[in-house]
Amino acid sequence: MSRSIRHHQRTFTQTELAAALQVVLRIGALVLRSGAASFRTQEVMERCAAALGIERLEAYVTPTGIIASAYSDCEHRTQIKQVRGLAVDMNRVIALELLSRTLPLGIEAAELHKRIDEIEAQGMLYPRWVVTIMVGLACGAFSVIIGGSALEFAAAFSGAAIAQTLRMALIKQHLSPVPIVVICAAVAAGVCYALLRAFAPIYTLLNIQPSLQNGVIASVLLLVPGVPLITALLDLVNLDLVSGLSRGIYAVLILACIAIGMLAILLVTGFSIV
Amino acid sequence: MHLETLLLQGFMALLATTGFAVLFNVPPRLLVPCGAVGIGGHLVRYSLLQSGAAPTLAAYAGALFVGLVGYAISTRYKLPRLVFTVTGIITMIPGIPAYEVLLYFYKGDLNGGLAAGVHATLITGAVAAGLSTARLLTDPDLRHLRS
Repeated sequence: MSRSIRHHQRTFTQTELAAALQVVLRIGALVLRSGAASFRTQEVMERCAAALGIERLEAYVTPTGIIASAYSDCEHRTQIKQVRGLAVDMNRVIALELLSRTLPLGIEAAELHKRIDEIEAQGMLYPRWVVTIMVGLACGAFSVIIGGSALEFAAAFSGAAIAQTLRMALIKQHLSPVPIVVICAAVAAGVCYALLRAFAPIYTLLNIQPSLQNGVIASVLLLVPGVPLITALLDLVNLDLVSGLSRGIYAVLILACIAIGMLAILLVTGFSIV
Repeated sequence: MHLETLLLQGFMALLATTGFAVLFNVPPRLLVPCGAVGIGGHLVRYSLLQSGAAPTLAAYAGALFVGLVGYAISTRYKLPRLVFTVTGIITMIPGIPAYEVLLYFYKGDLNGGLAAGVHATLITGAVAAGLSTARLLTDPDLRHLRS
């Protein structure tokens, strides 16, 4: 291993080793679920294992589960942790990374659990309405970047903001990402299209050429799986092939869901973006 | 290229980048660096596109910029680089051709669908290559196989 990890060694009973491995897997699953790449997850786990006194940790990280073995003297333990519900929470990734870097050597498993609890309790840093407005602005800005006008900005803003509100509500209901993305894409595109149609008199008044597609396309940008795309790539470059491929497939699946949601609206309205 | 266009594009890139940073729950103190990386990357890509460069080259250069500047900032703050790169490249992700693929196929335009798909893959590949180049240049751990 080229990264230097501070090591602390102690002797474990089998039960203690199992408990130590369990907390290592818990922090690993949490980092992974917050949108970190596999190698970062592995590093955080290795640092924690070293601080706990585990002699050697072998971890195999995939986006849907982690397998890890802990070795200490003649004892060893292997556990599997399923991971469901990949999300993005950069604050949590940062906090867990810092925690793993600053752990005191020889920390007990129970104490580490307590520190993870604290980080888990932090939740979202921004109130929902701030997230909604910022996401709306981001999608509106994107419509201008691809060549839209102020009217498309307004329509993409509204479509994206409503879709984001709906998405947060659906996530609370623990709905799977697949239906959430289809529904939100349809709502974003539908709202945006309806608004752009309603803007028709303003277009003629201001004498600007309407570019409906720029608005509709930008309104679903909030659903594009940017983080899985990038982490898939990081995993592949790092030769974590299984992890990289499965993340890539997840990203493609979500993109297809966006297209299906938009397709529904385009069928109803007869409008075409291509 | 007019100054106003650049200013407008820069401002829009700032909005897009910070908007996604808030969605990704990036802590408030890091929003400014995230926004700066986003503006820089977008302007590099935009000005290359405007001066006639191929879309893939423009995306590569933009992503390389994001990766290198993201690295510089992340070492200063001692934080994962992902925080700065993922928000910075959001304006470059070719979401549009990607979801156009299905729409073309639906209309029975197989050529259009394939062309959009290949286009999306090429741009994604260019962004990927840009970020990977930056990583391989700056992270010795990735250049060598782990034992």
